[in-house]
Amino acid sequence: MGYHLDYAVIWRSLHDLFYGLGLDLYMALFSVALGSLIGLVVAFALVSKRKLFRVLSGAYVTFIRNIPLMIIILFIYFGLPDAGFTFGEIPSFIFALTIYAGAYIAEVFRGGILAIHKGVGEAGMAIGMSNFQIIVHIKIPLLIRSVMPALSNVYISLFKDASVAAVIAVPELTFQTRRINLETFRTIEAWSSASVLYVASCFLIAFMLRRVERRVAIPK
Amino acid sequence: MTNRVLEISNLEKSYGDHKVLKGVSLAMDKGDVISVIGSSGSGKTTLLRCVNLLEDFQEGVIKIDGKEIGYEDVKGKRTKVSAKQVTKDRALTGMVFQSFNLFPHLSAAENITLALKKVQKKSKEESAEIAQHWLERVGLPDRGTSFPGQLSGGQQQRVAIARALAMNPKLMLFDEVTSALDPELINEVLDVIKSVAADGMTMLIVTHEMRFAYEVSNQVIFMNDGLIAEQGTPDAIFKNASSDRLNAFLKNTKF
Ligand SMILES: Nc1ncnc2c1ncn2[C@@H]1O[C@H](COP(=O)(O)OP(=O)(O)O)[C@@H](O)[C@H]1O
Ligand SMILES: [Mg+2]
Repeated sequence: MGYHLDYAVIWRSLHDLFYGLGLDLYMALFSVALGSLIGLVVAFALVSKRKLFRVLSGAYVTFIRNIPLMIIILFIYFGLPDAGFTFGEIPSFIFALTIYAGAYIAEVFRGGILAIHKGVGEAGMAIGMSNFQIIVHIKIPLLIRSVMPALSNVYISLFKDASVAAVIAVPELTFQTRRINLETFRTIEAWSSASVLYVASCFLIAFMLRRVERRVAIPK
Repeated sequence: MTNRVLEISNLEKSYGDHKVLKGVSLAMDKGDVISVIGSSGSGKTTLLRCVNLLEDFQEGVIKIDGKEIGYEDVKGKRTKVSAKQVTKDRALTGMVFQSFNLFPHLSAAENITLALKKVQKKSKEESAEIAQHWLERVGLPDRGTSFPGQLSGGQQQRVAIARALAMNPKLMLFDEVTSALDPELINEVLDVIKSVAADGMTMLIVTHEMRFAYEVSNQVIFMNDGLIAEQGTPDAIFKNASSDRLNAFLKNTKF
């Protein structure tokens, strides 16, 4: 056994690793925020009375959920320029992750909408609220509270999925780690450090999301 | 000037092929309290839901304060009014449900103020005052900040009654509002309804509480198989029931 762990090279590259981590967080945050908006709208379309809404939203969710994220990214990054749209790596990736996130988040919201007791909406109708007011003031607030735990899991997954951006050379954490690995041949040190950073970040995100959960929980 | 608050003529309603209301006619004047009794499945809930426009209906006319609700005549054709008008027509009546249906994420006071602010466009302060007034009226002056999950069933139902009354409806509809309650909580809710009746509110009350129906109403309706089978004063219905069906029904209920 001639392998001596040497984290000194990692230490020197710490700045790059943290820069990469920051980029992951930045891209994930963007995509999660936009994806949540898309997911919310799509979820209401999925349970809409109108067939056209149901068909279109159903097609989107089914399609996206059955394509690997990697394919979506390669398609957008390499395919769209051929069609005349050129974006940089980071916007391309945010675009791809947003579309991907929207489909998963829509499914979470859909479950939440179906779980809302029918009578609550009818009570809103009975006191003269419009459909739109009921959605905005009753259903969405109830929905967000009830799906927070499931949503947290999806958000954490999406943060980890940001590592896929490495394939189009976005200098995020996984990409940086691979580069350090190739430059230093310190394979174990490089990937173990990245793993620690991912685990620590996920714990931190989970901790913050749980605080939000408790904050919005319906008092009992 | 008549005092006619509600006038239902020949109301017919089907779910698919299943005819549930088979020609119901009913008139209520201001201050009338009518109880509706009848076995399960006879159409009592459906009748109330039609009046509150929570259900479409195929035939008949419902008028509130002399004006037809839900439908209108367009070039000789019976046409459903716009969604906006349905919302307005619906606001003429207040409805209280068996399952309370409070908004669980809002406090008792916020349950009441939500529609005051969003529908009636009242200010925050005025809405809060109205909410407090009605909370006091249903005997819950200091529970405004409690959430539904922190209230007993009886208290939740009283908040639901306050929420409906705060909208100042012409007519209140109650659908078995004590059926989901533990026995010891029933009376506090019935007492509130009685006191609101005493104030002159016009009310249509579906109930299985026969003694309450006897005490609170000036008319009682017995529904059977989608029709009003009997209608009369509480004494006529409960003390001198003539038809076999009504007698059979009453024999199976506690008074
Ligand atoms: N949404 C619905 N779809 C189909 N049938 C219904 C629906 N609601 C009620 N019904 C039927 O209509 C009839 C009357 O129901 P309802 O008005 O609830 O009676 P009640 O309140 O007197 O017990 C019953 O036969 C019931 O099965
Ligand atoms: Mg019923």
